[in-house]
Amino acid sequence: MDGEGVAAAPWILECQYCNWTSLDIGITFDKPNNIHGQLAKILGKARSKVSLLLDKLSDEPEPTEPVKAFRADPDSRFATLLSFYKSELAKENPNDNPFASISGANTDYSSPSSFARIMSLYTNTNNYGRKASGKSTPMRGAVDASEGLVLVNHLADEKAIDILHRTGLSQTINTEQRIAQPHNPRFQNEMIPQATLLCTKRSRRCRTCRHILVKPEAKINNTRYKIKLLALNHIPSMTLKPLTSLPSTLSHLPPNKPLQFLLTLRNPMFEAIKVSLGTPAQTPGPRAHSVTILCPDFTLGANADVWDEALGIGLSNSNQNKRGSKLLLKDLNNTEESKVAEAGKVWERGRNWTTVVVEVVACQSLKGPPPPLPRGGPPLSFGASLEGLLEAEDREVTEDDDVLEIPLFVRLEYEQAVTEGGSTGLAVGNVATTTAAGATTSATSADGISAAGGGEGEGGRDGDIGKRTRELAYWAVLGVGRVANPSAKMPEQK
Amino acid sequence: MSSSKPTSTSQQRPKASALPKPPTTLDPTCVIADSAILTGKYPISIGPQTVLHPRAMIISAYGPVTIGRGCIISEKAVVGIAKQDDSGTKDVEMTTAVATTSTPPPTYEIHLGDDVVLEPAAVVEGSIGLGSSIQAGARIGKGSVVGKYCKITPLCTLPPGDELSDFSIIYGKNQRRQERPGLERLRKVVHDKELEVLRTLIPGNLAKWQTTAASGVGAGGAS
Repeated sequence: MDGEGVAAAPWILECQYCNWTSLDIGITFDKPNNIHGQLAKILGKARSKVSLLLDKLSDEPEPTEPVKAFRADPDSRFATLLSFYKSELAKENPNDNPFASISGANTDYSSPSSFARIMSLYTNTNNYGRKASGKSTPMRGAVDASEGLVLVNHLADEKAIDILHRTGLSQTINTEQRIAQPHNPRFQNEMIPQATLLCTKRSRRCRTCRHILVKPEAKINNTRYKIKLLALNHIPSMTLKPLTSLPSTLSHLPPNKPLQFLLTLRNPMFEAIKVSLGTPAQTPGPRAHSVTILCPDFTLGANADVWDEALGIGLSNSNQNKRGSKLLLKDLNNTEESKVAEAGKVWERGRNWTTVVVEVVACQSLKGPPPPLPRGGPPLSFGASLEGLLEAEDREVTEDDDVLEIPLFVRLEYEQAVTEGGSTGLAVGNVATTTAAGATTSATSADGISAAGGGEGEGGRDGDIGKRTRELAYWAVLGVGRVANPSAKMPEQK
Repeated sequence: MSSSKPTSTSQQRPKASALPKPPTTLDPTCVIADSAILTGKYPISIGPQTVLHPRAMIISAYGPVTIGRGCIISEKAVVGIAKQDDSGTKDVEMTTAVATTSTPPPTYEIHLGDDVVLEPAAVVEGSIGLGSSIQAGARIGKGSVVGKYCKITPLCTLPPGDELSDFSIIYGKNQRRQERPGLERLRKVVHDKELEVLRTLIPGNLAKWQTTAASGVGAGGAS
């Protein structure tokens, strides 16, 4: 949509693509703003009976085809009919008028009064029927267009056929266009510009601390956000990758073998974080895979500024390269050398990231009907809700049963400078981070639910004067891969 | 210069540049970017104020090319017929179709009217009337004629030998519609402004292609 003209009076709408202009349907605008309002004014003349009569009397130029067609749209016709019958009924019996409560054309079917009226039609049948039978006075019907009567115009059909003969199908409109237009046009030159529907912009608050997390800018044209405090910017990102090269893709994890994965947490914040990870010794779900995090408690270094990071990344890359070459060597020599995953020890540590080893023994058999949830293992106790969820879960075999996913309870502890007002409100309500190690892992929604929840705890302990210890805990799901089908022969690992 | 061009698009460019420099009639007020290409053996004439972007290409291998006043030929747009084998099977059909109007060794005269806009990668092998615009990647087939104030929207095509009446628009899947006349003047204002800007933006190098009398004035049209 584009206004045209230097600064002077008539403005038109123009399509930059196909050069359609509102001149094609004989519409010009007086000012370049409030197009919708002006359009409604131009098109909406038929909405009052008076204006219809005026149209007839006035020596206004004959409206163009689309405008005429639009004026005959069902809404305006209904409005005229309604106003006609209301006035007729009022003439007949002013006291008992079923349309009395309807206010003009703006019949609101969802309003309580309309609803009550309609319901009373059904409930008081006897009453209503008696009344109606008593008062069957004859009433005049609508007789012409000013009263809302529109006769079927056979000439219009012939005209349409004639246009079809002359211009062919190319001038007709398609279904989408027809649906979008309220007045049922048939040909391209009968269409009317439609206003774009506006979208709602929502801002979000934290449920706990009422802090505004996301606030879009009020300007209509702007898609930017004024405030954007995403959980993503405050919780460490997780990646999971196999420690040793697996025989094939992660979509065929060999069952009943200890597999080691590297879980890397990267700190996005500028404070060092103490992290405690917790996981059930056996995963919930149809198959009980056993999971062990070799080093569940560790720290993440603080994130530094961009330049440092740029340099740091180079450093860590070189580190990784070294590692990679080592791994390669190891694979070549097929011997265990140098680094072995050890319980209680961090595998590798960078400036703002730490890698720990997770050992997984995939299980290929399904759990028995009574869910034997081992309670000894998890270092952090499961909430009752999770157990409830588990019990409610169906034990049916589905195609995603072989997906290996690890529920992970993450607890973060860090010191944060207290800003004035005290609302350092980082709010992480429901966070479900799914980190896919294999490309095949698709987090199923059920797992997502079981992993969501958690919340924010605030340690009120006062460390330094300007500092405050904060605690954050949430559940996350790590997607690992799929367990190999027992029937399919997999190459041996190692 | 043109021979050192990296040939990223197709084999058109080396072949065309292998052809001799064409006899040209260039108006001194037109702007031809340094890396624009003029090639062929028939005369090429370019009118005043016309702007050739870098890498625009004009080929007069199979007939004279005349470009009017105030045209804009964008980068990678091609005016003229690049295919070298006009004895190919496809071209034989074409030739017979056009042969009724042209001489037995078929020459395709290409004429671009005034204020024609060729957007990037447009290919024009026919003639175009005043004020028309051929948008990005659109294609005008051999020997076809586009009328005045037409618009070929991006990637649309006009088949060879076809004719497009004035104020036509080809859009979508080569659908056609007629525009209502009356806005040409307003569009020309915008077009002239664009020309003005382009003249300051694009450094011209007329001398490179000037072959006829150094004055370059007069002797217009295809000789």
